[in-house]
Amino acid sequence: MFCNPFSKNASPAKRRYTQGVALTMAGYLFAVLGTSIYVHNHHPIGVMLYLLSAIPSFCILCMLIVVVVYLRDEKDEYVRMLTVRSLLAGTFIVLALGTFTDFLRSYGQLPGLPPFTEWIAFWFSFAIAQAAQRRSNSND
Amino acid sequence: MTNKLKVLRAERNWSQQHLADQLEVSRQSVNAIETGKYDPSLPLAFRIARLFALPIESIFSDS
Repeated sequence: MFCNPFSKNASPAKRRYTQGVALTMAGYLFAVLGTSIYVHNHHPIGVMLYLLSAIPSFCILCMLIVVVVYLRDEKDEYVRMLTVRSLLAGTFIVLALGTFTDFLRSYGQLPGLPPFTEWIAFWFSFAIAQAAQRRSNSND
Repeated sequence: MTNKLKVLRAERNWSQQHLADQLEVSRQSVNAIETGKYDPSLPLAFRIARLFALPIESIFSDS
């Protein structure tokens, strides 16, 4: 995750990770588009609505599975450690954001975060942490 | 922990990438170990020692 995944130096695990992310994201886009159009046109309720909501959720969760598989398969222990650090940074930011906004909500000052804010915050923090570590490593 | 990896690599006129390829790790890993940002695991330290045909303690020290 810390060097060009398309370069010849990229590990097999990194190439599989890149392919997995691309496939998952493509699946997510199709799932969101498909379910959104269906919900907009047919206004399903009950179990059907639950099932339709589960489809794009499953795609997002697959992204986490791709990361877990990458961590399992990556042989480079240093790169693996940097990835884990980035995941921890993302988790920390999401928990901090969630805790703060939950207090605001419980005190009646905030109606709640917009949908998917936690996920966006998580992956954004993950990307920032990766970039910061890459920059720190290249300064030597 | 300190190490002599950079010195040993320079003595052999190897690039970081060449050393990384021999150890089957990324160049970033070699750089991080050389600069003291990362202490390798015992298996990787053994691989490094075997590659340079030296005892681990002559490459790594806890001073």
